[in-house]
Amino acid sequence: MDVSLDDLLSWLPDLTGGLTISAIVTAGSLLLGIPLGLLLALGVQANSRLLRGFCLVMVEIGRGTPALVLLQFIYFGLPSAGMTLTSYSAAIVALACNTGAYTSEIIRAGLQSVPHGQREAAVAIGLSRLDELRYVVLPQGLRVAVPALLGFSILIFQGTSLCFVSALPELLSRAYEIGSTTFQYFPALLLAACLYAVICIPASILVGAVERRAGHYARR
Amino acid sequence: MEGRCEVNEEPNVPADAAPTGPGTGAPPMKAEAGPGRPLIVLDKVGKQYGAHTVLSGIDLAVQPGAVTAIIGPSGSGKSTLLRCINYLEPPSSGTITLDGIRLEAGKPPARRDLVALRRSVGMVFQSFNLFPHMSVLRNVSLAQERVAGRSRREADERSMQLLARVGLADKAHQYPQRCSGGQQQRVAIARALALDPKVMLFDEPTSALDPELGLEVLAVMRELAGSGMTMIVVTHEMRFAENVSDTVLVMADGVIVEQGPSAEVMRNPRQERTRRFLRAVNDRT
Amino acid sequence: MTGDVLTILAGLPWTLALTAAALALGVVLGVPVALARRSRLLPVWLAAAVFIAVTRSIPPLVWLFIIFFGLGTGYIQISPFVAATAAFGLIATANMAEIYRGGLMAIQHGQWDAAEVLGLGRIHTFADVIAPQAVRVSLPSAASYAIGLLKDTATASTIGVIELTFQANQLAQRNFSGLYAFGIAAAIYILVSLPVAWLARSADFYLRAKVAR
Repeated sequence: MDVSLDDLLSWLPDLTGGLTISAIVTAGSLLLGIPLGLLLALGVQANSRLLRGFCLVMVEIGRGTPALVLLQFIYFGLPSAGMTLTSYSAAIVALACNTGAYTSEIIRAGLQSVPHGQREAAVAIGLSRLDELRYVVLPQGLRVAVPALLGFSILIFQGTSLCFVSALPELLSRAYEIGSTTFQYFPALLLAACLYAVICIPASILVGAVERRAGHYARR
Repeated sequence: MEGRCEVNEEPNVPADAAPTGPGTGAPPMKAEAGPGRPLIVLDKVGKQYGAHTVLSGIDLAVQPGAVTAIIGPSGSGKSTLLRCINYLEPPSSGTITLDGIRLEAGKPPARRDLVALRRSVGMVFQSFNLFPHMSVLRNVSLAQERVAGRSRREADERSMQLLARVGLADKAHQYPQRCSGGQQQRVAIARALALDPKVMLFDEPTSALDPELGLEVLAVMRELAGSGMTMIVVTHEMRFAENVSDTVLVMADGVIVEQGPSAEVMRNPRQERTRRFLRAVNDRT
Repeated sequence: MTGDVLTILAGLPWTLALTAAALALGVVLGVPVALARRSRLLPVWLAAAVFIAVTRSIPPLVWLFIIFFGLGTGYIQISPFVAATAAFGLIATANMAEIYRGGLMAIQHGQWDAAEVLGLGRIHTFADVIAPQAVRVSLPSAASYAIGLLKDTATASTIGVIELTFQANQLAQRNFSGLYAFGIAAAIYILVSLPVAWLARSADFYLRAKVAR
């Protein structure tokens, strides 16, 4: 590896620029995807069979399709149907759909973990279904889901690397570009890998700590 | 051989033995002529977890063939004491001598000593701890093959004898989950007997069983005691302590509060702590 | 239409082969890593923990690129399939090690006690008592992971492994029919993961009886 420390340092601004874009796309996908996941989680438990079925199909498609294929479908496929999205929006939409499908399962599990007795009590004191949801089920159910959602967010951040194929100038594509211009693929990619690790490892440790604290909460 | 339990054989009783037997209030049956050499000696045994003292100053001598019951409130250290005797928990202080093997606190035992210890001592747990992924027969045979080096045929033969002894020969090919709690515990006893131990330790063997199922286990334990096995039983079964065991140890707060022949301790306890405990146990309506 | 489906389906054997190879590596190599993770020797435990943390914190695509473009250009000659197997095998090892660790932690403490009291010794305790139960407990998570791995292999298309997504991509570029080609690919992925999920559920149900609860 004939690359000097100066070379590595000169690549950093470029890479951190890509990192920022990865972070923005992650935030956008989560902001869109988690509410979508909540809607799907509620829809899958709905009374109407049609709604239940529809949401179930959406979740299965979202979970069964690889994120890469979803991205390519949106970025390369949709234009032929008249919808052309920029690489940014395609990335966010694809990851948001993926997020929605996976988080709907996480949130559903969280909502179902609220003890049945709570819901019975809510009904007994006369709360409407919407109020029951808003005041009893969601606050407790979402709290249970938080650690898993945080863990998933880390995965989405890693998933932004896929947006390489949709020409999004995120971290991986910057590293690849540096590699292809300097032919120093290995160091460039390793540096990018280090940046991913530096963010994801502390994040995972943090999520582990949150999980343990949430566990204490639940035991009260 | 002192106190050794042979299946289908009468234990060796010297011709001049006085009428003995568990529960008659007479000295415990010694199957060896001459001064009784204790099989187990505990000398100032203590156990600490960090700053928390669970056991202190435990002195105990158990004769071969004796049945000792340990009773007392929860948290008194009874189970910990049992687990120290077979080195499941290393004691923090004191010495334990068992069948000639000497265990000192602070000095990890030699591998050979530990292996000998495991073969001399059998243990039965409150939660049975049978291996769920193998049949009852295999549960009893496994250690015979792996530890005692018996062939599968020998081991299985021996296992069937033991299962017959505890009344479960017909369950040999069942899996533990298909057996009731009482049956599982009896299998656990057979499993512990399979290595021909000299001592059997019982850690609250019937506490996880409802009263009727507990009876079958107590019957097996009674038969075992009658055949001359040296037993130490941590239990809440007061009738067993009074009628089947020779000696009763009362523990509270990590120390032995009272110790003596079972009839005396259970009927005329000398210590106030013992009296308090027995009152709580006996006055339950 | 059938012609196109068949064209894309030509990638399926490669997808399955890659998944199977990576999974095999992970299932086997995950064992020593999981055991190392539980070791009482600090350097061993630390090495395993670091390996698992680093491997799982770097996205699969980045690992693919590091091995294929990083190592492959200038250091060693490596085919796309081999690079992909190495990358996914590495990731599978780390993930299976965590799954095994979870399985080991789920075994009731009394099982260790009983084995110790019978004098079984570490090797026999593991081989006869602990491992069979750990495998049964780990099976559902391992099956989920296998399905996830199947979908992750889609990224191997970027380095030229001619699996499902690659074929779909080729078709899309040839006919400008991205919607259609990727839609078919998505459907195939979904359909393929269904039998695996069903198999896993039945195996779990059957084996569920054989673990201490």
